Amino acid sequence: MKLNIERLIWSLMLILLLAFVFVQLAGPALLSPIFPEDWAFLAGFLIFWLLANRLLFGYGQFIQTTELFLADGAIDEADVRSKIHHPLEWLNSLALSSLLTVWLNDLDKYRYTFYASYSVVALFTILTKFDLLGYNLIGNYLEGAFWGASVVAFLVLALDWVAHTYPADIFAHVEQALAKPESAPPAESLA
Amino acid sequence: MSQKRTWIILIIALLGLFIGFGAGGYLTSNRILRSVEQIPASPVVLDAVYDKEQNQLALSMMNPGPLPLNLLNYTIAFTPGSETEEAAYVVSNIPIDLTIPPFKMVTVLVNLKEETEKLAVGDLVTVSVFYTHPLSPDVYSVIHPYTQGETSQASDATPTPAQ
Repeated sequence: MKLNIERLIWSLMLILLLAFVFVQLAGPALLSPIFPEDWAFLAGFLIFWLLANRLLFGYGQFIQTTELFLADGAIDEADVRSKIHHPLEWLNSLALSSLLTVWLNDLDKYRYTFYASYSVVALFTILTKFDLLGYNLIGNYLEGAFWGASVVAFLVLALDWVAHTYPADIFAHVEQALAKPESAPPAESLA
Repeated sequence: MSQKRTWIILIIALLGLFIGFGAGGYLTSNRILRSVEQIPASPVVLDAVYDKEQNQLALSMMNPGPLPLNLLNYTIAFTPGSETEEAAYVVSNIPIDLTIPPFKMVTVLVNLKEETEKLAVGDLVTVSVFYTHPLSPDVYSVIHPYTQGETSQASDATPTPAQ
């Protein structure tokens, strides 16, 4: 019962948030024309979302799976192995806890690609802001693309930072599990 | 949930505020710039200098707005002071045909009536400049009263132009 109310409140907040964002976006679009700067913002947002898509869903799935692991839930190990770009024989030899940290490290290549591309856009935006590239017409549009990319970069950074706190928790959990069976095996089944 | 994660979520929330502020500011400022760019300004007379040899007034007119203004013509009304024998006169509809670009200044040379005496101290010349802007077919005017000499008392001597 308590869980249902909590779920209801969370869904209600999500619906309110989405309605707020929709009104904020649709209002100006309906009342006034969409300017080239707005299109630049949208383009930056979509292109960088395309770059970040694997990262966003990868970190999201990693956090979900690790939370399940920490709560001793059932995890589909074959599904986790299929997401990691390493030889399957080696992955089969790993314990689930190691597999999770390997999965996190496997996402690094997308992370570095994303941050490098974002840094290039940010650098050129700053250069045009300080007029170091001389007079150019695209400076303002580049800034729009930069802000669109920043929204995606914010989501990536948030998930990246949160996901990288989990290896310590995995380690502590495994250490606890290794220590327990010798002293008091029934305590684990109760917890 | 670890202590570290709580701090990260707090920092991320703060960062989200800044990025939302930046992105929203960018989109809003562009919208406001677009609308402000459509507001015509009235020209401002920054300075008026009388050239005794040419018998003409040099008006420095500035366009403080983002739209170009087209000066059409001017009218001068001469009101004699106590130290001159010249009679009052009005010369109207003298063409200028000059465009002031946005945020630029031009000098308009206003010729006084030919074969009249040089201005004496206390003489009042009221110059009305008529102009148009690109968004309307209407003609607007700006009126500049110029008093020869006594610059400090100029505001007392000049009548308030009718709106």
